[in-house]
Amino acid sequence: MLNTKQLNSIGFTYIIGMAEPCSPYGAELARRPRFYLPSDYDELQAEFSRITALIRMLGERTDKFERVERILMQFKDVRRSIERTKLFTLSDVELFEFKRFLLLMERLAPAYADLMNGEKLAGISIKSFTAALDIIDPDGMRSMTFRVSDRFSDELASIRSEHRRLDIALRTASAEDKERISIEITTLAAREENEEAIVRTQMTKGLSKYADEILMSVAIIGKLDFAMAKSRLCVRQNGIIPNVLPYGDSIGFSEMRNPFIEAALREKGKAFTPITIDLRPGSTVITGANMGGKSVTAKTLALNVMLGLSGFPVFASDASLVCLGDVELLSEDREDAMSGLSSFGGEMVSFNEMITKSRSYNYLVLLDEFARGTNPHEGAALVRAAVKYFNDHDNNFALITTHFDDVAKYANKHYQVMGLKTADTEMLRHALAANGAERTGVLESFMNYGIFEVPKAVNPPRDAITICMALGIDDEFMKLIEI
Amino acid sequence: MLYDLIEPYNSISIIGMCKNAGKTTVLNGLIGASNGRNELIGLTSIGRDGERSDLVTNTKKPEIHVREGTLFATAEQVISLGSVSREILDVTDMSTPMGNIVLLRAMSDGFIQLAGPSMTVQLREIRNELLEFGAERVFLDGALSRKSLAMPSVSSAAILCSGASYSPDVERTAADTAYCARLMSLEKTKLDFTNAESKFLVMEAGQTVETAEFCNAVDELRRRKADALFMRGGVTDAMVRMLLSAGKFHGAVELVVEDSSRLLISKQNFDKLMLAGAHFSVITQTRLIAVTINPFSAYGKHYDKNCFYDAVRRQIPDAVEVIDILEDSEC
Repeated sequence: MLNTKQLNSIGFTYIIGMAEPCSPYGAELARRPRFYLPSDYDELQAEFSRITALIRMLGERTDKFERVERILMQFKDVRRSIERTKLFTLSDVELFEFKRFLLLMERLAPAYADLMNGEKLAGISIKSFTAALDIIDPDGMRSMTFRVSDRFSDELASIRSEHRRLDIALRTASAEDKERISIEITTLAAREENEEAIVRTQMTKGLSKYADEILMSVAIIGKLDFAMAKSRLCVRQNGIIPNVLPYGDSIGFSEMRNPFIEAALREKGKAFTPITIDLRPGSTVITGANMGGKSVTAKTLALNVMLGLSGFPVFASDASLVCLGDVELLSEDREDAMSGLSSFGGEMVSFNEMITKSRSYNYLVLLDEFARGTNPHEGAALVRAAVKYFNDHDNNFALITTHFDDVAKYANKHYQVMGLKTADTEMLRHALAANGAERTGVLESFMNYGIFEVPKAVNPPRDAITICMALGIDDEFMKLIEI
Repeated sequence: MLYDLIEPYNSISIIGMCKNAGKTTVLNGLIGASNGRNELIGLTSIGRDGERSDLVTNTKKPEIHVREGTLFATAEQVISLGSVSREILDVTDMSTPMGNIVLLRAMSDGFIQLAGPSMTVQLREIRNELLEFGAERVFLDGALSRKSLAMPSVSSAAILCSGASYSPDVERTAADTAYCARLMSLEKTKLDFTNAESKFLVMEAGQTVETAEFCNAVDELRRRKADALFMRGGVTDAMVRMLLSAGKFHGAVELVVEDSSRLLISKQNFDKLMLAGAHFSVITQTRLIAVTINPFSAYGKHYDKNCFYDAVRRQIPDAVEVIDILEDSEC
């Protein structure tokens, strides 16, 4: 499983944060998005069918969609009070909140029916609890305020009318009467408090019969709210609902994007280059120039797979996925300092954990610049071994980025970052002939961040020195480089 | 008397110089006067008030008495400590150590306890909600040394309560009360700072220099013949010392702050600045309408009421009324 830092760095946290559920119940689901395992396949499909239907509603019946949202916004979390009905007597503040919840349910049910117009969302049915509301509001006023009603207690009614009479008497009473009346009122107020408690106990007991049913409704409201928020996100960010299979031999995305990186690039006035990639069981290797977007490809794939398998829309023009046991990413973001290991040591220990676990499940494993921390000779050998290992254990999908030679030939598929390959060499040489600082910015105008499939035997390009030149590295230093 | 003064304002803060200054007496007086005119009133406090005996000094103190229909906002856990029968209007998301703030309507006459929100923004929200529920006038009860209550964003007018419990020395009480009153009645500036973006802004003959660092602002002030210095946020004694040590001002300098609650400086430093040729003004003005005095001390050292009155009256601006709460029939 990806850790929090990795979820942040691939943009998952960013996307989840953009889904804004209206109610606390939806918000709770959004805080801890669920990863659907192969055994949860049916539930994942149900979630996607809800989002698909809601996207359509949002487009066709916007005002009705928004009306449901406005009602959802008014919900507060009353689950604790509902639970408490089973054991305790609710206070008047709790009863107020309970009443408000029930009143909102009475509004939500018709608004939802109106939105759906006869259609049904899988697993969602919203109903009102009129019988429960009658307990808390026996006068049928249905106002948003709460006072313990004296409808079922003659005692309470008579105390209140006596209290009222004395209040009026006290306002105009003489000094000596004031003392006497005040004492009477104090006694009455205490009796009223007692009697109210009795009524509240009766109300709570009546409500407790509905507690479980209401709690189930709360869970359904959360589900609806969360799905509505996802459908909004999908429309706003141009997402699509992926085609997910319970099992299969392909994970493919066309023109895949990463809105998190896209937003960062947009701030700098740059655009994100969409990525088309198709993974088969076993190892897929990406090679290419430094700064060419290998890591971005790994992160973007991790993001979209995580989103799709968490029941979220994905960002591509076409997406097909299979259910996985887990997604693992091994990259520079891994924290090793805590364990007291060197970055290489930490990486290897994590890798070992990863392959041990991946024997029993089908995983998506992403190795970004694996074994970069050691010498190129042994490093390349380690990467080659990893490629072979995942080919042997082809219940997994592995994406391995590297710039070591002779790795890709063992892979099932080999992609290469375009990098400077498509750049006009004459123009590039001309641009690089300029002095130190003038060269900065050259890279961006010549670099192609797209990836394309190449034969397995092709070795990574030798672009490191050209890239140093393009970065505007000091001339004196550059002249010392000998190859 | 006091009621006539508050008549034009829809929200009034009542601020105490200290505990037992007579805040609740003033509040009950105003509530009584409003009731007599059949006004629907709203009440809340910053912090906690309205206990039977003072939680700090353990002295007997008056409770807040309201009439049926009164709207009030208080923390969930103190609701049941009052004696009124009530209806719950709203439960807010503002949380305090004593539970969330709840809006209620008194359904009988009786006593209530107030424990309102502790943040100015929240207090303003509560005030607006009380007005929305139909209150014609809202009273905001301030806790001990919470002068921020007087901030114009929260209330349109303020009453400052002072009393013998502040100090055994009548002159000291009068002087400190007068200083507070003086800060609260600072003039509204005629200059326009609506476009100021930085924390500090120096103005010289219509030209402005903005800076985020106070030391830079002081430098500018010394170098130029500046007319005014605008300071966003709080002004502290340390800042005043920097101003004073920067040397003599070239002419009369206007020191502008957002409102008087931002001035967190001692009387001595305030006076030194005046002597150096500076004067303070504010962007939004607090309308201090009265200072009430209570010659009775909770600690036993009572003042002579005439002597106290004269000492306070002598030192505060004429526009501000001074009222002895034991004399005024409505208070």
